[in-house]
Amino acid sequence: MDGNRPLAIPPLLRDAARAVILSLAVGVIGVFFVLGTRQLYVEAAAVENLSFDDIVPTPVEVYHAWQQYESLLLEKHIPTTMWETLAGLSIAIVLGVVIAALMDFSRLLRWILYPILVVSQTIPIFAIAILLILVFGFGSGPKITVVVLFCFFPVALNTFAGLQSADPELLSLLRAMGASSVQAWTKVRLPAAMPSFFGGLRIAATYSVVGAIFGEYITAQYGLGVFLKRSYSSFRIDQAYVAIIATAVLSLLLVLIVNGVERLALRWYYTSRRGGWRGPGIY
Amino acid sequence: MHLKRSLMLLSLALMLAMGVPVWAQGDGTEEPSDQADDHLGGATEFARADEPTDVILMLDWTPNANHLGFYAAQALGYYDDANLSVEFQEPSDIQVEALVANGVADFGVSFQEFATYAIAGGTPVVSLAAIIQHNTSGFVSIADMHPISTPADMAGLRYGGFGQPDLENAILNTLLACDGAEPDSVEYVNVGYVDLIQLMQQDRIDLAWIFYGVQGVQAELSGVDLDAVMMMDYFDCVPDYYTPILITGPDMVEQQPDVVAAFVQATARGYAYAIDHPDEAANMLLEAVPELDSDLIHAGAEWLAPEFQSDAPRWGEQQASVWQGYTDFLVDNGILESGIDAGAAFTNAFLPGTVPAESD
Repeated sequence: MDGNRPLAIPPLLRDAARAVILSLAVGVIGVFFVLGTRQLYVEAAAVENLSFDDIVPTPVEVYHAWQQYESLLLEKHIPTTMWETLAGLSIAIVLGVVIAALMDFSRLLRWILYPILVVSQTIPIFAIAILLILVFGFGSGPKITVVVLFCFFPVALNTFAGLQSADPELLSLLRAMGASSVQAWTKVRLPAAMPSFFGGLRIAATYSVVGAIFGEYITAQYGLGVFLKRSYSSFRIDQAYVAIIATAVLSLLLVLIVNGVERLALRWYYTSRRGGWRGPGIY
Repeated sequence: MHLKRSLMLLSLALMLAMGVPVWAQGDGTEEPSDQADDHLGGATEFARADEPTDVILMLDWTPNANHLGFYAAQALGYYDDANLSVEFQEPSDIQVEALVANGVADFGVSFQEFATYAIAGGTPVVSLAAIIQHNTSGFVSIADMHPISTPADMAGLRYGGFGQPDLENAILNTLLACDGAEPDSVEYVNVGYVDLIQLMQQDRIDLAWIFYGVQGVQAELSGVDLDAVMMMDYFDCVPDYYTPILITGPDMVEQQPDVVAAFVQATARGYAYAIDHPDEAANMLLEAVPELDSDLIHAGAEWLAPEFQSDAPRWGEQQASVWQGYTDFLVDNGILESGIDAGAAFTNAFLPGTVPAESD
């Protein structure tokens, strides 16, 4: 493999260069996005008689709002939301993988579970809010449940697709060599499913924080959702943006962690198939 | 009378027999204070729960100036005195009544409208106190854009409704009819729960129904000049109703009357404090919920302080005629098929102190 690259660039340097190019691209897109939004706003405001301050706070205002509530956010709201997120995401991973395995294991189960999976994603959370509280009370239960509802679907679906994508030739080879079905599963199917499992996990991680905030919106004492709601009902847009940005940062962190774990766990996959890590793929 | 009511009275009597100080008269040496100064029916001692009890109070929305008394009672240790540990829950658009009726939450903040619907729909709740004595809501417009001074001025305007058009149109039409205008001459636009003042500024709607103590005060603070048709000026037209109220479920009343009495009386002490010290009470709320806007809470507290008790003999006092009047209004306008038992929907029995019987 190394023969393909006579001029071996140290992998670290290569990654760094990629990262720089990527962030430059993101920066350019970001600037265009902000300017475009601003332009759209100006044109809308001309029609709608809006005041810019009512809708978008300045970064300085947001920073001041963050400073004002820094300790409250760091000690109460963010830990609460993160606990709900991580607990929900962990349960979703286990649940998703188990469902995927069951569907992979039996055609009958696939027929039964697949529609249930899809229907589970069509339930409006607010329609079952009362039910969640009746069943789980006022603690973190309902919030974690919402996160699980948001997150298990991409994990289950992608893992299932991955399990199904195992190389049939490899499987028949194993069978010919007298491998048991358990061996076939652990040695071929499961490894084959890993890349798409991580793809699903990445989607789940993206949605998980928002899931927790949805849960907190139903009713809660602490959490970013509570902070957001309090801010809006106090007409404090600058505070609301603190919550929005915190949510974005936390989601991004989670996705980065998933990418990191994926890179460690699937080094074999990326080195063998792609000749190196190219950053997260989209499956 | 009614089974529930007699059960409740029975349990109260039992509590008295067991030595629970449900209420206590002044010691007789006090000057008989006038109504405005006495918020607690002359009580100087207050009920305690038999044993340390955790209770959950579900607010109606995020904390605001309507909730001053709860936060004052918490900060001043009135709930501790009552042997209670109170947890506040902040729900969104969710039926507090159902959770309270099921005993998932012990107490809740509701409104006579919703409580009436809930009871009519088979979800039993009991109102324990009127948090604000009279309806402080009103229909407002931005003065520069669509000046209004009486209901007839609302004809032809676009009203931004919160999604209960039957009720909202019934109220609007009754007001219009009282003022000699055509019914259905206000256009209903469903906007949900959004900042109504902003929608009016953007000229998407012309008219909104708000709690003056919250959104009206906010508009004043931000320099928006509102015109208002206040419900309280038209009580002979649309009957007055209590909004908001403190509710609990029938199981609480029957099985834990000591906790109900302890909670209601500690809360009454909190509101009594808020009536006399709106600024300090506002600071207590802000201390507990620092994310709220300080100016808004202080202005709201100032506006609401005289409204909590208003002309009632003590804070929280409710009258059967108000409960009857509103259920009749809903039936007359075809919103409810059959009315509720107004006498069973509320009780004053857990409020502190006593007041002289109505003379009428």
